[in-house]
Amino acid sequence: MPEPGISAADILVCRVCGALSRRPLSPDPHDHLYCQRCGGRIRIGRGNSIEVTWALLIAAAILYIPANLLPVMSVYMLGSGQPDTIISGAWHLVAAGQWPLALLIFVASIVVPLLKLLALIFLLLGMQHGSSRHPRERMRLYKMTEYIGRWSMVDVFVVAILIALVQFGNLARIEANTGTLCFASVVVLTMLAAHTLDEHLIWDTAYRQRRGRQKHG
Amino acid sequence: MADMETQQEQENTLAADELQDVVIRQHRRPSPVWLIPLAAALFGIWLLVQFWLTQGETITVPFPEAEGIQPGVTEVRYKAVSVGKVRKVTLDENLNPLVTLVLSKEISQSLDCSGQFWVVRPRVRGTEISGLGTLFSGTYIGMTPKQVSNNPAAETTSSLCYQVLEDPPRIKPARPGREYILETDSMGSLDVGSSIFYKQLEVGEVIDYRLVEDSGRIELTVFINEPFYRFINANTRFWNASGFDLRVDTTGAEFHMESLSTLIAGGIAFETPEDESSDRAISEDGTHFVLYRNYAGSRERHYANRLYYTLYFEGSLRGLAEHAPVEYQGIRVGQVEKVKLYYDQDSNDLRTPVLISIEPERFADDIDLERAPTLIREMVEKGLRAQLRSGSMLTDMLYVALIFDQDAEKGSITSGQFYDIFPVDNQPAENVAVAMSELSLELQETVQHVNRFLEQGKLDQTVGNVNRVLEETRSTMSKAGATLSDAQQLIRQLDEKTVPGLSSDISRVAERLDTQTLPMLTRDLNRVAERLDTQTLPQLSRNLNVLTERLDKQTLPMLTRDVSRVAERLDTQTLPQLSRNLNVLTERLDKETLPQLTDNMTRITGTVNNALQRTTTSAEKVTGAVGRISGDFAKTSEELNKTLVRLQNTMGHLDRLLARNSPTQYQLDQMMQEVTLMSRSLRTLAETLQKQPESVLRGKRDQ
Repeated sequence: MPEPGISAADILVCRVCGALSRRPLSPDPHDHLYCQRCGGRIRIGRGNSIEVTWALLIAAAILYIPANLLPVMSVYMLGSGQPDTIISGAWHLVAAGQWPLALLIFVASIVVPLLKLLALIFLLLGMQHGSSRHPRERMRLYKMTEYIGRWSMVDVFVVAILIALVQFGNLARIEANTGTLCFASVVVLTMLAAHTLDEHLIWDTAYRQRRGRQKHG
Repeated sequence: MADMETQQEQENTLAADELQDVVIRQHRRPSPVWLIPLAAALFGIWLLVQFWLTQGETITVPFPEAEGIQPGVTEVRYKAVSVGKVRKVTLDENLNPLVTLVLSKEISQSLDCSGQFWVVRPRVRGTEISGLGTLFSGTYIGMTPKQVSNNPAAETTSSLCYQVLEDPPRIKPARPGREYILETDSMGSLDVGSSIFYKQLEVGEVIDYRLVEDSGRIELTVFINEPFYRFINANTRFWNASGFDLRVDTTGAEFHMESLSTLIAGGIAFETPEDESSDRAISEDGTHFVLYRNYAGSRERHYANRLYYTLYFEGSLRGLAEHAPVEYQGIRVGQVEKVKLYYDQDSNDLRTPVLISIEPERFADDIDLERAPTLIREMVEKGLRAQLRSGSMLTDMLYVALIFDQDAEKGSITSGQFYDIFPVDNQPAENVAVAMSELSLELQETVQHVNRFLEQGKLDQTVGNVNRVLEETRSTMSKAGATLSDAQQLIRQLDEKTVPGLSSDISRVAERLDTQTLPMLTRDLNRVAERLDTQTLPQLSRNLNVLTERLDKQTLPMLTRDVSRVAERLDTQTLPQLSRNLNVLTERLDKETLPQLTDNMTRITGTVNNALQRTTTSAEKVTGAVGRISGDFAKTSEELNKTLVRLQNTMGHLDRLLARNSPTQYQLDQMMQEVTLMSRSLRTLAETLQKQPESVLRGKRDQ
């Protein structure tokens, strides 16, 4: 099609009165759009998805530091014991020869959240700069990110269950430390970020860029 | 076809044109979602600040050994509160372990150079078992931020200024009570943790000890629990009650023991004489007391002021021990400080000075050290003398008695080389040894008398012979008045006749000596020996296995020695002397005249009677003395026997308590085994939990 006309992507539908409106070409994400006919609020995609995602991601990134530096769990056996961070816990497991378990913890608790953060940042940057390259691959990345993110909660659940189970007074006792809170926050925030990220935007920008090129061409 | 396309395009365009624009309202406020990263940032900053605030010091402490210290695991505790952790263990240039500790903020604020560190491990000692908790929890490092004790074991490490202790320092017990300081010369078997007894109740413990460098004495810090320190005032006497106290001295035998546990762990007891303590105030915290060597020592009043004198006795000082009493009419006024041998270079003379101390306050309370020397000087002018006396027939110990001898030669205290010299009265001491030597002297004298008697007795026997001889001599003389040669011949003849006669006389005398005098003597001696054999010795040997040794070594050998000496004298001196005397006699007989002989004879019979009487009296004396001795022995041995039986009972109990297969030991053994088992299974559990934390959920899995 040499001269493409208007496409569905250019039309906004008012969810109140059903009126169709033309989509502004590059609206500021902060601006609120309203229907001309009924005055109802019109949202593009999931609202200002990029901004919210950024906010959540930044919060997650901040908390990722204490989550890894602070101890997550203290195991006291026979009166002795000490708080362990995620890394030191994994290291203890390695020292005890349980390296598959250590690898699992290392991957699930350190690598996965970090990769998730990086992936989301990568996707966001791509959206903001209107990158149109490999949208399909980026979409796959997004799907993976969203799917895998929940598994990081395993750690938090393990801690929660152990705290509830192992309370034998002086014999053995497990306590949660601040790190767990931070870690849980990181996981929850990245999950929320993955959720608020509007995957349409991957395609949106790709499409609009193509369309912009067509118009200028 | 072109139309179609154009129309379609137009439709599309039309549709686009029909669309309305949206109303855009500018809304440039940032989204509230940014509150989330803000909150996260604030939380992060708060954590950071908190971490910063609680971050303490990192210090390095050199430990003599790092057994059980694990980096990252071993805790540092102060009063059982975890205040830090070992970060790493390295070696310094001398290959000694250096332990790097990370301490919490609170503790590092109050930590200074006198801070002490020690490793807490399980310890089992006589009186205490500590650190058993570390069996399960692992070794930890104890610390105090400031020095709490003057433990002599503390090693100051100047380079790093912290102290590393071998044992945990003694921290004053938290329970109410008071601390007192006891001064002593030696620790004995006392140690930190030794108990303090009051009327056999355990009322406190030794919490610390310290060597005072100036005086070389030891200061023990004792802690007396709450109600009991009320019994301590300025009159209180503390004594070392370790083990048991068995004393045999001039006053007899005495046995004293505070508590069975003191046998093992040592202990201190105290007592406050009631008559003096009615209105005395309770001693304050930190009051100094003297720790007496034993109970007897504590019972004596302690006199600070002493006067020292040197005594020079003649004769043996055997049996005069240090600390032997100096008594005036049986009341102690001082003691013997030292008995020694002194070589005087100027006069090339060996002397045996006896140093005594007199405590003038024993005479009267208000005599002070300034007045005392003049007082004693005056008393000496009036005739006060020192004399050696035997304290007990049994133990052969001497003491020094001060006596007033009105007839004494004028004497006074003269200044000596070291101390003033106190005049002495050298009357021999009445002890067994001296009695025996007296006896032997008398026996000797008797023997001499007997000798002389025999000398004369032979005359007595030969009076007839002599008369005969003299008659013959006279007749011969008258006959031989004519010619000298005849007379000489006759004399020769006389000689030939007399010699055999004399020899038969001698044999008769010897016979008599054998049959009469010696049997009498031997009977007496036999009686003595028999008594010693049948009564005293069996009793002694039965009762006094230990003490008899001493008696065996001293008294009996002396007796036998004396007896044998007597017998020897009889054998070696008397008989040869006798024969020699006889020879002399015959010569004298040849030379001397009859009247003199008869005159002598009457005197001799008197002397002989005297001698015999003396012999019998001395024999009686001997029997009396021996009887007294055996009476003494019997009494003392009975007492000792009782004491020893009691002691034996006690030791038996103790033995049973401590024996390898005693119930206590067995139970202790069992307990320890069970504790071991328990700790092993607990350790297994801990290891399992450590290795397989999931086993809590899934159950144990065999690897």
